[in-house]
Amino acid sequence: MIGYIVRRLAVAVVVMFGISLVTFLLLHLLSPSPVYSVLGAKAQPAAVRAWNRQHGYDRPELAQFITYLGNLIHGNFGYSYKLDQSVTALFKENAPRSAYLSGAALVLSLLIAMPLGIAQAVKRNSIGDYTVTTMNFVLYSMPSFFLGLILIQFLALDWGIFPPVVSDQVTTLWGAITHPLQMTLPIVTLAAINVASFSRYMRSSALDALAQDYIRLARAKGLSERAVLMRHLLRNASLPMITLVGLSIPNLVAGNLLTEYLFNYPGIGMLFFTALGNLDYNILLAYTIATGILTVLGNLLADVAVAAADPRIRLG
Amino acid sequence: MSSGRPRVWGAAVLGRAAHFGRRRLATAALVAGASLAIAACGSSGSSSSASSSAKSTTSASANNANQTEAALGTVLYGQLPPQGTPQSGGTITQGQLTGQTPTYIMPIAPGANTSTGTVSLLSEIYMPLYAGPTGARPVVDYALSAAAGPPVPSDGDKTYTVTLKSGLKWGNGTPVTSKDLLFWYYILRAAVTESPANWGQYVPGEFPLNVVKATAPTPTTVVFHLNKAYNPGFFLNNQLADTNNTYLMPSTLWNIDKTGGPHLNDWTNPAVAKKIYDYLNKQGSTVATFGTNPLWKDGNGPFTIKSFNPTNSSYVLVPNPNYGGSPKPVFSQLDVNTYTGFTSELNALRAGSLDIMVGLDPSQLAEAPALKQQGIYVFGGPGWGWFGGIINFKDKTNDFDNVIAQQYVRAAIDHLIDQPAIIKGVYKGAAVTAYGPVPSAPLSPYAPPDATNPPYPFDPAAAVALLKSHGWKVVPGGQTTCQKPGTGPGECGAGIPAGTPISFVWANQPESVSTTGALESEAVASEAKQAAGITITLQTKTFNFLTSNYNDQNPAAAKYTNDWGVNNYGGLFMDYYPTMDGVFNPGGGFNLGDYNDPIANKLIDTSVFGGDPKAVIAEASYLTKSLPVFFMPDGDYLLAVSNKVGGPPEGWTAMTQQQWFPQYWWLNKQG
Repeated sequence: MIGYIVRRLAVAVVVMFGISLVTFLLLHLLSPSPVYSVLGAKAQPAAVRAWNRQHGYDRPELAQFITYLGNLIHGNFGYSYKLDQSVTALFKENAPRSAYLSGAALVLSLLIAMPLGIAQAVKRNSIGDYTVTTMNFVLYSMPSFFLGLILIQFLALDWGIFPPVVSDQVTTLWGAITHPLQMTLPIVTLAAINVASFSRYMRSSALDALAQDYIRLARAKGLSERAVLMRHLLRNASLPMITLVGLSIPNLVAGNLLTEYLFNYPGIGMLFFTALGNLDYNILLAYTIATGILTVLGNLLADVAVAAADPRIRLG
Repeated sequence: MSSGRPRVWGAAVLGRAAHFGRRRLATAALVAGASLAIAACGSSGSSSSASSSAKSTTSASANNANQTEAALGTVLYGQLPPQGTPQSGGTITQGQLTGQTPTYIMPIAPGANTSTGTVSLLSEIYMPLYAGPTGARPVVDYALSAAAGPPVPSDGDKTYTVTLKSGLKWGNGTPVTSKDLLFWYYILRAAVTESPANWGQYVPGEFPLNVVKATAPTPTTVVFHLNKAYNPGFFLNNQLADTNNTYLMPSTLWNIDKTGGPHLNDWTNPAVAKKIYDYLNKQGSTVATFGTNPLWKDGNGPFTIKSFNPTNSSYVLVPNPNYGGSPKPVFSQLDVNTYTGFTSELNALRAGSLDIMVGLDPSQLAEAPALKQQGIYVFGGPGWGWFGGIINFKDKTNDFDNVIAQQYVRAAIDHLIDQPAIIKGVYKGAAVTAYGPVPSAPLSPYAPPDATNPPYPFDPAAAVALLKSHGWKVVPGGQTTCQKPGTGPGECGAGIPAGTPISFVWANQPESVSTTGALESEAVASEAKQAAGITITLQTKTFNFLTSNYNDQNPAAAKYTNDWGVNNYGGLFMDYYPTMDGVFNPGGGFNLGDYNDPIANKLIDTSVFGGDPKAVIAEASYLTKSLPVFFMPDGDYLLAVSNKVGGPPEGWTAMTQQQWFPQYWWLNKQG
C-alpha cells in the first residue's frame, strides 16, 4: 500500500507539473502581461516596459514559468494586481465559503441518496422505484443553474419562502453557517443533482450486494431485515460512494461557479469568474492548479479509502 | 495605449454589447466571460435583403422603442419611475455588479481603477469641481458642482479663472477654500509626473502639466496659467470637468505623508507633493480600510461612507451633514450591494430586497411588462459616446489599406449598414442611431446636423452604384473586384491593381461576451456580401486582444497589422466636448487604425486650441462624412427601479450616463 501511494504521488507530481505548464503557457498566449490591467489602458509604452521589467514579464515564458514554479513550491501563488491582495489570501478568504456550500450539499446528498438507493434496491421494480428513478433521471439531466432558477422562481419569488439570493450577511463562513434560510436554496440546488447520481450508484451497488451469499446467510440466521440492511448491506453497498466522494473533493474548494453566480454567493468559483474577465491570471493559474491538485489527490484518496474499506482490493 | 481623451466602452456585460465600466479599457470581466454567458435585422418594417431599397430614417424618433424626450434631453427607453412624494428617512438599496465595484477612494483615481463603481463612489463622497451630466445631457450641472460657474478665459484663452461656491465644507466642518483646489492640483501634478497612469484622465501634455502657474488669489478663486491657448469649450469640459474626475482635497487635513504625521504645508514643492501623493495613493487603494480610514470621512460630497465590506465591496453611505450643495439627501442610508450578475440582481429586485438595479441586460427586456406589473420601472437611454468598427488603414492584405483609403469605398460600406434595423433586431429597440462620433442622443450643444441626418443612409443600391462608378465589377453574392485600376475619374484609386477584391477581416468580441457587437457585425457582413459582393470575414478575439494587438499604436503589435481590417471591440465614452483628439489624430493613444486626415487633423486642432467653443461641431461633422470608423447604433444603458423609490427625472436620466446622483432619490410616502 505504501509503495502504491508513493508511486501515485510521484505520478501526481508529474501530472500537476503538466497542468501548470499548459495552463501557464495558454494564459500567456492570451495575454502576455497584466500590465494594462494594472496601469490602465493609457499607460505609456515606457511605463509598460518598466512595469514588465520590474515584475519579470519581459522574460521568456519558460523563465517566467520556472520562477512561478519556484514560488509555488513555497506556497506563494502570486499576487492579484486587480484585487490588490495575494492570491493565497484570496483563496483563504473564499475557499472556506465554497467548501461549506459544497460540503453541506455533499453531506445532504449522501444522507438522502444512500437510504434512497437502498430502498430502491430493496423495493426494486415497484412503483416507488420507477417513480424515483424517473425523478432521478430528470434531475440528473437538468443543468444545475436551471434547477436553481426553478427553485428561485417558485420558492423565492412566487411563494416567498426563501430569499432568491444570498445577502451580505453571508459574506463570511460564520454568516453562512448561521443563516440556514439563506443557504437553503443554493445547497438544495447542488444537493439535488448529486442525489440523482448518487442514488443511482447506490441502487446499483445495493442490488449487487443483495445478491450476495452473506445477505442470504444473514437472513437465514434470523436477523431482522433492518439489521440485515444496516449491518451487512449498507457497508458493502457504500463502497462506490467512497469513490464518488473522492471525486467530489475538487468541488469542495474549487467551488461551484454556476450556483455561486446564481445565488450571489461569494465563493472561490466567483473569484475565478471575476478573474477570468480581468485576466487576473495569477488567480486563474492558482485556481487551475489547485483544482488539478485536488482532483489528483481526490482520486488517490478515493482509491486508498476503497482499498482500506474493502480488503479484497489490493493496490499495486 | 496612451493619451486620448475619451474612455473606452469595453466588453459587454452578460451579452450586452459594450457598455462596461465607464472609464477604462474595460475587460471582458463581467461579461459572462468564458464560462457563462456565465448572453438582423428586421428593419423598420421591412426585411433586410439585398434587394431591399429601404432607406433608414434619420431621426431618433424613428426608433420605435425609444421615445424622444426633448425636455429630458435624451431619447428614453421605457418609463421613468414616477416622481412621487418624498418621505423623510429610510434606506434605499442599490445594486452594483462584481467587477464594477469601487477599487479606489482617493480623488485622483489611476487608470486601472477608473471604473463606474469608483467614479460613482468618488462623486458621492466628494463634490466634483464640475459635475455632470445634467440629467442625461452631457453638460455640466452647476447645482452639483463645487465651481460656481464655468472657468473664465482671459489673456487670449491662456488663462482660466475658476470661482468656487461659498459656504462649502469638508466632512469635519472645515470650510472649503480655493487652496483646496490648488492642493488637489499640486498632488495631481505629482501623481502624473510620477507616472502618467496614476490618473485615468491624464493625456500627456495636457492638464495638469499644461499649467505653468496656478494661484489662489482669493479664498474662492483659482487662476490657471496655461502654456498655450486652449479652446474654452475644451478646457472646461475635457480638462476641468472631465466627467467627474476633477475634485478638491482638504489641504489642511490631508497634507500628511504618514498616518498621524505632521502637516506639510509646503505642498507646492514637488518633492513634498510626491510624498503626500504616495501616502494618499497607498491609503486610497487599500480596499480593506475604505470604511474605517478616517481620511475618507472628510469628503465634501452629499454622502459619507459608513461602512465598506472588503469581501464583496458592498458599502453603506449616509448623508453628510456638512454637505453644502443641493439637493441634499432626504433618506437616511444608501446600501450599495454587490451582485454576481444581472440574474441575481434582478431576482433580488423582484423579491423586494433591492430598490435600484443598474445595468439591465437587453436580453432581460422581455421581462419589462411583468416587472411593471410588480411596480418595477424599466428605463434606459443612450450613453454619450460611440460604438463601431475601427478601420485599420495600414492593413495590406488584399491591398486593403489602399482600398479603404478611398473615401467612396468607406461610404459605400456605410450605405450597407442599416442602423434602424439593427436597433430593432439586435438591440430590441434599446438604442439610438449614431452616424458619427456624436450620437443622435443624448442631446448635446455640440451635435452636428449629421448626428441625425446620416450622409450615407442605408441604401444598398447607392453602395453598388458608388463602387461601379469607380471602376469596380460588383458581383452581389460573389466577389467584387477592381476592373479599372488607376487614379483617374471612374477608376478604382491609387495603389489598387486590377482584380483586387474588397475583402477584409472584421474582428469582434465573442458573442457570449458582446452579443450585440457580434450580431450587428454579422448583419453588416451578410448585407455587404449579398448586396455588393464585399467579403467581410468575421473573427472573434477577446477584448484585451483586440485593444492590445489590433492596435496600430502599439509597437509590439506590429506583427498583427495585416491581420485585421476592422476592430469592433466596442466604443468610447466621451467628455462633454466631443473632440476626437487622441482618437483620430496621428499618434493618438486611441487611434487604433492609424487614421490620418489632414483636414481632420486641422479641425481637431481647432477644437482643442482654437477660440470658438463650438469648433468641435465642424470636427464631428467632418468625421461623420470621412468615416474613420464604421459607426454603429449607440445602445441604451438600462436600469430598473422599484416604485418604492421616487425622485425628479434628472436623477434618473443621469443614470443612463452611468452616473448616479443618489441625492436626487427618495423613498416614496406610502398611503
